[in-house]
Amino acid sequence: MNAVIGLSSTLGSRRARGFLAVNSAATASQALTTFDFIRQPLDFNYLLSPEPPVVPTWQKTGVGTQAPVQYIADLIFITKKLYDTLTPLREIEPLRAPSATNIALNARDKMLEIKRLVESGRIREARRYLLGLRTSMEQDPEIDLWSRVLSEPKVTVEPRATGGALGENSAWLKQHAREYQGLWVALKQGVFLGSHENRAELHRALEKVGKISGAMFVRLG
Amino acid sequence: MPQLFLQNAQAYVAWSSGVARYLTDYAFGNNRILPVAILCRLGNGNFTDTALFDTAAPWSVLREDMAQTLEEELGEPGELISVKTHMGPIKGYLRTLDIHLLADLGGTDIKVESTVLVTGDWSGPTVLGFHGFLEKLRFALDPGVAEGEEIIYFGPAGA
Repeated sequence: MNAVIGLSSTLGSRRARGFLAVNSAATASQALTTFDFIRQPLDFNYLLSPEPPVVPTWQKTGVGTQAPVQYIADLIFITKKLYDTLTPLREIEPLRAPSATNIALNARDKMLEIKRLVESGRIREARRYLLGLRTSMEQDPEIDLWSRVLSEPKVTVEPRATGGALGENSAWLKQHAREYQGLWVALKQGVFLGSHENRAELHRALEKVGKISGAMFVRLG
Repeated sequence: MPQLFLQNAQAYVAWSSGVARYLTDYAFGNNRILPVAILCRLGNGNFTDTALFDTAAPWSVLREDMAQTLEEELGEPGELISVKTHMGPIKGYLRTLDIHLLADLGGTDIKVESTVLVTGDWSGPTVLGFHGFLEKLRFALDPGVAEGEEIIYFGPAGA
């Protein structure tokens, strides 16, 4: 095993799956080999601790790939630590071709990772992760769906102004708001169209009588 | 129409494409005062709603009862997710929806192909939040001097 070590990983948290890329022998940059830690998810706290309680095992899993990383300083530090501790690692049998069940489980893990990132508010990271998946995985309906809802918003300047008559409607609100406290009210050009305690019901009622066009809905407190 | 400009080297470039009034301290239901509420059109229908303009909200939020009237405009729901809010966690589905900001004082409307969280856990107003909506908008709030003079300038980011 040669000296060059890279860590190809999605670093979002201190506990994450780690892929160790090692330059194998004389083939230089042509043939990076990845090593998948068996103890997954790889615990970076464990790797960074001065005296690891257990020597992690690893196995060859194929040709390495590069993935975007976020925290370069962490990456360098962890990589160095991995390099320092690589020698005592125990190699086991190379990984065999994954079964269909394992592939499905792996895909599910990836979806859960996206959900975890989204729920923790790390949307940019989720987008980057998703981008990586789109380039490395075959088309998947779940990935497509996540891609749609996580895509950056597209803004288009429209050719015209459709107006909102907020000025006229505000004048009506100033005069009558107290009379409709707790209700949804529909207005158009400062004219009262209707009210209801339920927004959807009011919408449907106005649609039924053909008054929905141009209506502005407000809820009054 | 009133416009805002960016100084770019020696030139001034107008960046706002539309201007609209906004409401301050708008009372929505019981005990909810919206500091900044703006008029928007959800979907492509010909009606408008007042929405809380909130840069601190991670996502735009749409109540489930309102989503029912927009079902044909909303994209396919994603996975059920939980989002933290100042009123506790709410569960819902991220769905795509076109949202228009209406230029009622000059310029033209803008359409944002956005993503909203549709939820039955929320009884508050429609929220226009950061991800999936505000993150690609350039805007400026001018509170004016007297009540009723509040206006918002908006345009696409980077224009």
